[in-house]
Amino acid sequence: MVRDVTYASFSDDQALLHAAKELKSRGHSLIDAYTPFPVHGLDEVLGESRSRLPIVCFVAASIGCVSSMWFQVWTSAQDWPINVGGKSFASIPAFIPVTFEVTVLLGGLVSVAGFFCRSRLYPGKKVITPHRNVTSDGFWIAVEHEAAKVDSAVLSSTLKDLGASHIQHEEQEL
Amino acid sequence: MSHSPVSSHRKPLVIGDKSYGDVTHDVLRPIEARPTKGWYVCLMVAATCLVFGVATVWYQIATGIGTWGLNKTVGWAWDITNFVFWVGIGHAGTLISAILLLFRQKWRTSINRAAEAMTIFAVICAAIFPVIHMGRPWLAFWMFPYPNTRGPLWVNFRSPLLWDVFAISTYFTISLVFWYIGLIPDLATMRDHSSSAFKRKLFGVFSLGWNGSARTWARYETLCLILAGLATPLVVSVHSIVSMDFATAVIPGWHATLFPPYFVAGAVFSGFAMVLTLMILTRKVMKLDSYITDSHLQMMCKVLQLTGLMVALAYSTEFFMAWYSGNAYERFVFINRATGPFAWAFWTMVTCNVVLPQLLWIKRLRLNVMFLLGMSIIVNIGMWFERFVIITTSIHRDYLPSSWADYSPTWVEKATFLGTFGLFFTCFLLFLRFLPMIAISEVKGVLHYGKGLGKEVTHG
Amino acid sequence: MPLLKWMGTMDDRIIDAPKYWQSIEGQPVSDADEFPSGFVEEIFEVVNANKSRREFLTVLGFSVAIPALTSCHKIPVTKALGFLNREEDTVPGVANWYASTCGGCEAACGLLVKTREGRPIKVEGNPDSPHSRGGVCAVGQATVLSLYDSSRFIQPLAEGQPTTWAAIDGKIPELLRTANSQGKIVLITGRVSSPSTLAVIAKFRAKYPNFEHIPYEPFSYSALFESFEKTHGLSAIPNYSLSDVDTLVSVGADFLGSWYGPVAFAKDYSAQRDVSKRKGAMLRHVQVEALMSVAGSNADLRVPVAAGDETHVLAALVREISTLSGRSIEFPALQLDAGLLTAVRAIAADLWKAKGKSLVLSGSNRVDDQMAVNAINELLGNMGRSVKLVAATEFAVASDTRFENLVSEMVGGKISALLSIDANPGYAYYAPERWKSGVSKVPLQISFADAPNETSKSAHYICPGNHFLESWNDHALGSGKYGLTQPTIQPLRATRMFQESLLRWAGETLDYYDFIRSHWKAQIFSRQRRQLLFEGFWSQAVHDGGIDVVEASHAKATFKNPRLNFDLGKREGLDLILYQKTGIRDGRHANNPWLHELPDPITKVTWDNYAQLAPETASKNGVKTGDMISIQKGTIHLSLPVLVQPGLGTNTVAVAVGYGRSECGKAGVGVGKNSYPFVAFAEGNYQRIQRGVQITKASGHYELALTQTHHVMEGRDLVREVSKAEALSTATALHSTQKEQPSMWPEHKPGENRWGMAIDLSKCTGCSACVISCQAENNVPVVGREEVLKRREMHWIRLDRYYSGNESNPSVVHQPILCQHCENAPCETVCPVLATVHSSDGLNQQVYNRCVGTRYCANNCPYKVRRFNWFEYSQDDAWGRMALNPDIVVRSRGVMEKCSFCIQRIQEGRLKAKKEGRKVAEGDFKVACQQSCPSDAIVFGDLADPDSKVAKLLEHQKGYQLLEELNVRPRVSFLPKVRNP
Repeated sequence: MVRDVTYASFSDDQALLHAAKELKSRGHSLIDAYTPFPVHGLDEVLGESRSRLPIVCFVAASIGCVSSMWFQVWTSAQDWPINVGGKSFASIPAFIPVTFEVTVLLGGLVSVAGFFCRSRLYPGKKVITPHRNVTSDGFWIAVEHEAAKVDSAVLSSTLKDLGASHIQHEEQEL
Repeated sequence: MSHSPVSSHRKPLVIGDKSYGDVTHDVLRPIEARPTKGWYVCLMVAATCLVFGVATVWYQIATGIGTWGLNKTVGWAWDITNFVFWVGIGHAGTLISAILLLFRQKWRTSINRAAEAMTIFAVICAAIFPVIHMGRPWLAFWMFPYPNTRGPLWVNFRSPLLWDVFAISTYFTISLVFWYIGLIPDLATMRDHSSSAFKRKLFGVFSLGWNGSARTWARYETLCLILAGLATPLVVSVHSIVSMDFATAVIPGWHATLFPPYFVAGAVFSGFAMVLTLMILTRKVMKLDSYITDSHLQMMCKVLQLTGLMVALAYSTEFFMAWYSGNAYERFVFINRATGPFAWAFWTMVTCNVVLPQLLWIKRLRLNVMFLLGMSIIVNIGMWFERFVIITTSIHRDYLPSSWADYSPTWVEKATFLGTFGLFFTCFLLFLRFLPMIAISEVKGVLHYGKGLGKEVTHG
Repeated sequence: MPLLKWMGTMDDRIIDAPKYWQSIEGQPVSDADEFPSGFVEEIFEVVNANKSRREFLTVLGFSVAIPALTSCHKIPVTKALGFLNREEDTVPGVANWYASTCGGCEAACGLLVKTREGRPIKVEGNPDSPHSRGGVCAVGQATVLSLYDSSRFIQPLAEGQPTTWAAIDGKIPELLRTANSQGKIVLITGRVSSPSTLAVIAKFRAKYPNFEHIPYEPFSYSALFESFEKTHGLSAIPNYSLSDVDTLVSVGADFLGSWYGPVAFAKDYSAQRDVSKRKGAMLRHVQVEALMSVAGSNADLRVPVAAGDETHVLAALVREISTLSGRSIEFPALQLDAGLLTAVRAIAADLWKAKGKSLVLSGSNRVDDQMAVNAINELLGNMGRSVKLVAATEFAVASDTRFENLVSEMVGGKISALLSIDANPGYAYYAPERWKSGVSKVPLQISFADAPNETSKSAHYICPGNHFLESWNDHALGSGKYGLTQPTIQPLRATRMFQESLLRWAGETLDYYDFIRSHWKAQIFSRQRRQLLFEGFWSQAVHDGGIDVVEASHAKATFKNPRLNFDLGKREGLDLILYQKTGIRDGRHANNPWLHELPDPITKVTWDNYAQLAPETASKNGVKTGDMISIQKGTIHLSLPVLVQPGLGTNTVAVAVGYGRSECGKAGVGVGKNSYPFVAFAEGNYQRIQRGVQITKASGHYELALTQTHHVMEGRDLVREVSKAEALSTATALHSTQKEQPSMWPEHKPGENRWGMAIDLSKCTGCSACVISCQAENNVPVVGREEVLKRREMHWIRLDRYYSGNESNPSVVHQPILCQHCENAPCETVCPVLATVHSSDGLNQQVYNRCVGTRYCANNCPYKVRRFNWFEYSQDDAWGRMALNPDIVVRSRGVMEKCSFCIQRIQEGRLKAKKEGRKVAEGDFKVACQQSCPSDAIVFGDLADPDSKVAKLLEHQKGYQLLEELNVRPRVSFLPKVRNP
């Protein structure tokens, strides 16, 4: 199955945001927007739900915390207890720094990994983008064009009215 | 277009009426153009120091740590001093990229990329010393708790040195990751901006197919916040742990509960000094004055002044506590610090870290870039001496007068230290040459900040 | 391959080989010829040539094999190689001990020699020895290293060419015959106290009648010996005993450092000063001296005087005593200032109070001084009590006059042959040029020296003697006591005892071992009642390392008033005093690196001699430590670095002899400067104190390698001192002032034993025997002057020496510091790799092969006892490595090390106890420092056992721990220094 995508570019972030809102209100289904820097509000307009990365991070960090503390106690008090400076085998206070570091390390790395997976970012991924300038000064929006609902000319004119400088159609494999 | 009310006291973060395209172009220019003669000269100098340093370390490892000036009483001197010095410098980077991000400090955007790079290179330099200062560096891997055939015999998790191992490696990893995450959009920009097919391919691989999708941007910002949230306590923990190398010891002058905050403040102090040095130089060399503006320098001056005062407070507290504790050994150590064989080092420290920075109160001087450059260098000299004074003057005359000894470095110690500077600047120059030293996407976000045109757009 | 050939020859000799039960090494060392010279040279090529490390190690392996083979050369090859079926009393890995007698100096202390796989690796005091009773000094401890001195002669040399003993024995006798007909044959030796050797010499004289034996000691006691002839009309040597002395006055005699027999003195000294054992009685020690000596540093009252005034003090003393005794002794008017005079009066009064329980000593080499001392001791009734005279029949002591005459005769060309052993006038004679011209006129010179020295340099024939650990010998110790030296290893090189050579040349068939036996059978066996059969008697003697027989006739002495002369000429310029250092002594040990690196007990200088000046004198001359000065007396001058020494007599410059050797192994050549030229022959003896010496500041600065550069305690509570009264008082004021501090951690459950040590600061004299003992026991490397300058000496036990009071006459304390084995050891907590951890019995253990060398532990050690291998220190000399203790790992570069409480000995003791199915108990073992301590200052034991000596000591005697406020809980405690003001 294929779908018909219409890309439109705008002069700046404000124009893009304005257009996105308009299109949404007119019942067009927005696929995505492409900007050189994050534009606040766009994600709501696109109906992006709140990211669950913080939960991922918290879980990973907790695992790091517990496991490292356990590991230290196990090695120092269980596996091979040695009297070091008269301190008790499980010198918990002395184990806190390492515990903390491992907590942070695991939390950080897993969150990053989570981000890459969720956003499907990986080396050698094919770049799907309306135009090279999205990473410089292009502000693009991708609208799904359902021929059944609106005629493409109408959509284009709407976009023009909203200040789109370029408009291009594309058939996308789903 | 909705215009946000602009408060008059806000200075624009980027000078001149730049379009988004200009930003891309300006930042990428130095990378895409042929490098300047100045850059080559700097690189030659740095690389020479690096090579010299590497040769020295090789010689030292081949011959024995005895090639250093250490002795039975003074077991640490330049080695750990340099270690703490470099770690400290690293901290400014994280502070700018993480803490200032949490505090929504827009002005950080132009300098955080370079500062983070500085962090990474500084930590690399720092990490060298704990390894090469060992009697048997080839066994450094014994520091890691890996299953082994010796029992398995694990490591001593009670030792601050082991805490260092974890702190430094975590700090390095997280900083590196954070830095790379920040780079991804700009790598994509480079990918799309560059003309050569090879570069497109190369940057394509590293930018992981970034396409500026708004949905990704949203998650991206969450991730940045998470990393910032993690890095902030991390950076504090790292220098606290470094300080515990001394704070947990029984040696008078080391055994002080004050050390963790004292060291963190010192770290930020020296770190910002180094950022200042680098920024003033690079913005000249790379002609980026309109992005790294004087107001940026002023901001950094404020941090410098603040942390400088904290350090000064710490010095005086140390002396007060030594007196107030009534502990004869403590008292002696501090009298010895100010009057003993290393008094010159102590007074250098005080002059550089406490006295001279007060000149920053004078606006005229503060606005003089050359003065700032000089001051930032002075502060770093002072901070090096701070660590030297703490480490050496405390152990060279501790409990038993019979074992008191003096210390003087050999050429090996000096050459090794010089070598780390070579490493640091080599890395930094290569960074300037091959990566955008200003976070393009972030600057675009604050392009109109304080200009009244366009709403402030920020992330994080 | 010569080695195999040689083994083959060994095989042949096994069948008819006699075998003695005392020791497999205990063979008559008669057939040293069994080394084909080729073989030995071969070893030497490999050992001496500079080789790459790899080759070096192979060499090492080989050279280690040498003693293993030689030590059991009477055993079939199969046994030599790895003891396949081992020889009955040698168990691999188990030490054999042999009683012997020390050859380190004339004191001839009783030894127990520890051998491993046939190699002597450690000497220790023999507790059964009648006079030294278990102690050995630093020098004695170090002799084991000289055995493996790679510079020793490999084989006899004729005119510098290697030759064999057969050839030597073929040639020399006829040369001697001609010499005998042409002039006088002279044998110069050191002091000879061996009856058998004297008998050998007698035999030699019988063969070559035109012969004279002249003992020579560069640092001679001849005045002391001669004085008895004058005051008591008999040639005798004194035997001192402090065992019943309450007041001891020494005028310039360092009887605890180097004078006469320090070990024997130290034993009694510490016993007599043990106030708690003696129920309040305590020997009072007064030292009047110019030098700050070891003895002086322990004195209750020390009176520093100009060197030249030592004589005048004696004069005043003898006058005072004679007045008190009402017996007048003649001598010219005193030359002593009022201050000193009053001091002397007080001293005299003390002595008089302790009549019969006192002793006066003098280090002077003026006969009149010694006569004065004899007079004083006589009048005080000390003769026959604290001073026993032993008829010199069994001794040959040095006579400076006779040696002086010899030199003139040599110059006069009257000497046709010069044989020398244990005497090195080529170095030590005060007028080298005169000696040279004398020597040049002697047609036949034979040296028995075992290593090259200045005298052997000019010798035509070198017939190298053995090291005493390779030799048989006996020693008369006076009052019916005899010591025996037995070999503990076959000669490492083709050497043989000089007595052997003399016997051969005298045409005797008996070898020296049998000779001694026959001599003992005839002379000594008859004087005892215990054993009926000689074999039993002999076995006993060899086993005990000596024997105690009935004193035939005690020397009868009648005192006659001496006429004394104390005129040293008028005072001008400075006084110069030449002295012996505790380690190097008169220079004979100058090739022993252990002794060079042994910090001087007082100055803490290593690897040098120097000009000591009192602070006052130094400032007057505008010099400070390290400045070069040139010392001038007449035509002789010497430039040396200054060392400002608190407590040195004013107007005095003190210089150690024994340095500046030009001919000896690599360790000793060019270390320091030779100060013997300042000796003057006056009043019939070699005078070591000179008047009218000028010093002038010379250009240049010279760093002295000190191991301690800060000399005061900074008011810290490190060494606690109490007066006699306080020590006796039951008040526990001195008990560890801190009460047990609370601990954040729950205690670990204590092990079966809790090892601990108590060090009695009032017994420690600072003699430093423990330092070398520890070095020998634990393979502590020598690092050399340069490294000591960098403060990197490696000694596991050191003696901290602190001054207090005014610098013109400070009071001195010595504090032995070793690892304190803290229960809450700060070093352990900080080691990242668990390289230093705690054992269940409370030892702080250093795991060398785990150590990565962060040095964090050393930084965090409050006592700074940890030592770091900055370089690969331990690979110098393949022969020297044979002295290594196989029970101890040799530490590599980059590794931390420190005192282990001699864990190997603890383990040995444990195993012994285990075999006997009991708990380890007191006396199962002694740690090295404790064992060697001549004054029993160190006690080691189990704190868990309330009856152990150490536990009791700490209970009763106010022990305290160093820096106890740190709550690191050291396992080493100190007993306060008791003074007797």
